[in-house]
Amino acid sequence: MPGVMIVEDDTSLREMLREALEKRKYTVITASDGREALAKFKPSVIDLVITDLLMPEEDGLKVIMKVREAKPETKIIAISGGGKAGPGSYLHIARKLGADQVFSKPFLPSELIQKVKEIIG
Amino acid sequence: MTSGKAVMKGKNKISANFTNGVRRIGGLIPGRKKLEELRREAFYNELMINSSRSMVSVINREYIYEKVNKSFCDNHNRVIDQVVGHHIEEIWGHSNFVNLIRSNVDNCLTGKVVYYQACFDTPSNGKRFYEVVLRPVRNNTDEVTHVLAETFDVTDIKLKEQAVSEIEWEFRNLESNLPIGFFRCDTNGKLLHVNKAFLRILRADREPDLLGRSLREFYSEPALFDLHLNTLISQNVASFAQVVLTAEGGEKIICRISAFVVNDGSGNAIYIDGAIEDFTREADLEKRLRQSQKIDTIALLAGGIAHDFNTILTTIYGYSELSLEGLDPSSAPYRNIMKIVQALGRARSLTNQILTFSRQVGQERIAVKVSDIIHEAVSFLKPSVPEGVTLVCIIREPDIRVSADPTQLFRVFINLASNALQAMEQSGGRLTVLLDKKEQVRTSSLNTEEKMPEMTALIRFEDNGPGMDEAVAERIFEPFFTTKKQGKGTGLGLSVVYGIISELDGDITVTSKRNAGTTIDVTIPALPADSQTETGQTARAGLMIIPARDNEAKVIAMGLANSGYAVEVADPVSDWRTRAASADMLILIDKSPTLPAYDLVFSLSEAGVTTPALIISDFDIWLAAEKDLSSEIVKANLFKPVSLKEIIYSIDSIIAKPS
Repeated sequence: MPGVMIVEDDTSLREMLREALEKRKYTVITASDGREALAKFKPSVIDLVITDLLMPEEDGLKVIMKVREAKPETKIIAISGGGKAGPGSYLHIARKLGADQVFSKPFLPSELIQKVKEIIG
Repeated sequence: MTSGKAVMKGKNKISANFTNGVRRIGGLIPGRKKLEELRREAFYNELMINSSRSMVSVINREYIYEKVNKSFCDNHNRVIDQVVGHHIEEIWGHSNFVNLIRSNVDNCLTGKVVYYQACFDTPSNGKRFYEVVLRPVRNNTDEVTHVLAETFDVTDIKLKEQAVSEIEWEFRNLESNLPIGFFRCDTNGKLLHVNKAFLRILRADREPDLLGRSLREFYSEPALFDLHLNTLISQNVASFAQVVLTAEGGEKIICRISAFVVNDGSGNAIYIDGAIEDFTREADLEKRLRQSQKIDTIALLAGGIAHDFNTILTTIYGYSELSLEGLDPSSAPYRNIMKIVQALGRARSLTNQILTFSRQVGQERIAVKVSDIIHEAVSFLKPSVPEGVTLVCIIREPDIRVSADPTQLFRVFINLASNALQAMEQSGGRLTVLLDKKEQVRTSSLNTEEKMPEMTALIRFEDNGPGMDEAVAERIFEPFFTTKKQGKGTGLGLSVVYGIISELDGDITVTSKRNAGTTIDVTIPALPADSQTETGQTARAGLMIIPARDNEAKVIAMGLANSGYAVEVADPVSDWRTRAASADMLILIDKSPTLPAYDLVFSLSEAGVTTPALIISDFDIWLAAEKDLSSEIVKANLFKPVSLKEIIYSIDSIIAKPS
């Protein structure tokens, strides 16, 4: 099954997403911040990275750039609870950096799963 | 020749003395004793004349000096022989003689005493101002034979006069042109003199209109005037900040007043001189800055909480949905969880509003014709106008455009107008929505330098409802501040408005009075009339929006069309089903539970249409539909209120980036 990495600093949300995706038989790897994510990222295993944007240590935008560098064909979904950096929202910037899909929190797991299905099957 | 000589050389020999004006020349030949007296007298006369600092001379009809005093010689750096017997022109120069001296001497020779002033350049003193008196000197037969000239150096007096008049002129200039109002009043406050600025500040036309009236009349609190007057009389000098004066016409002016008491020689107060400065604008700016700083602080705090809250909500949403799987929809746990999801919907809407207020939601800004949005908002509100209330719309600038997200502008107008309508629910009244233009200097910060005024679109919501106290009006943009009854509103509507307008670099001002209605002015920087709407980009995918009668749908269609999409608006009751198949994408805007977009989608699906669809609905309607979201053609759901940016993200993720 395709591999998904979830990068989210909120433990309960991270665990919920893991459960929802594992239920659909995806292989899930989790990380609680950008630094851990980059350390755990294995291009051979991970097809999709779902990352929060505002996180301690390395933030989600860094994760997107580094993942794109390491394996350009990796799919990326950015999620954020709102927030702005300069003239644009983080989600907007994430999109410009090449995120395939962005989600504003709160969202339903079913919406996310539907997107994941469309993106990596 | 020495200075003591009484007899002069020249044509007409004379003997003269200069005491008692001009005496006749010649006369009876005196006796020996008399001669001695005369010699003595002549000596003293000579002495006096030669001690004078004025230049004294006797000139004959041929303009030749016959006698001069010591001062004359000293001024010209000459000895007497170098002057006496010489022509005026030789001493004073051709130009002075021809242009000035000759005519005056001629005039005197006709028998008149001549006065004139002149500026002469003398060898010893340089350029000096002189006052000249020419007196005719007559002989025995009463003919004027000579001219007695006295020339006084008045340079010092002249310079002092000039300096005084310059100072006076400068002072007058300052007094009439400075933006500081000067006044003089008697010790009771009765105005005796005011300058132009004073008139301007108090909106008066002419000084006589104010003279004789008491300054007390202009104090908004007359008792405060009495207090100020007492303080001033006892302290002699005093300054009062933030004094509210009422100008002619009733306008309130916030002033600083400084004054001092002018006393006579024995220490009695005779009048009061003072200055007033108009600080209304500064006071207003300061107040607004304080308010906006307060709101910004709240926004920062609330935005941070909303952000974290959204993360928590996502977890609750997730587990709720995961728990629903496999449950019988008629079972109690299923129904309970659905209620949790329903409550989450309200929480989600709350965090969305807080994020909008705290400017954390980026807006997709496009050129928007403000009148279009006002029309849609007004027609959206028409059905909900309470009885006894009239809604009037005046469009003075139908073509004015701003750079904004049309859906957000629509939200602003709906919020402001429905607030006013609700306020008049009991009393009845009239709400006027006005669109005009206004030149405005940005006043968002006290520290910024004076900027050039910029053209803005002015959208005014003016009602004659119950109005508000100043204390309420100052706080209406704070989140959760509401005067409505419990359950009537969240207290976030105007905060959202504030957030959206601030994001657009706009301004919002409230003028309200208890029982006198409320006026809310929104100004947004206008786009130049000749700027191009950004539709020149490559045509994006064709879309279809339904239903056409929905004002919100129209605003979204407008926004998408201006963002470069080919948009077709169709009505669900018309033949849209057949056209849906050929569109690149469908956007269904759900308005009522009686005609849910989901039903339309599923009927399309059944008819074999495969066009991908985006559904925008109220969360409650979405819940009421209770349909499985895994429909083939529904690719995304958005919940209201939705921004253009969110819609464009969704569209682009569905059709521009097909999986």
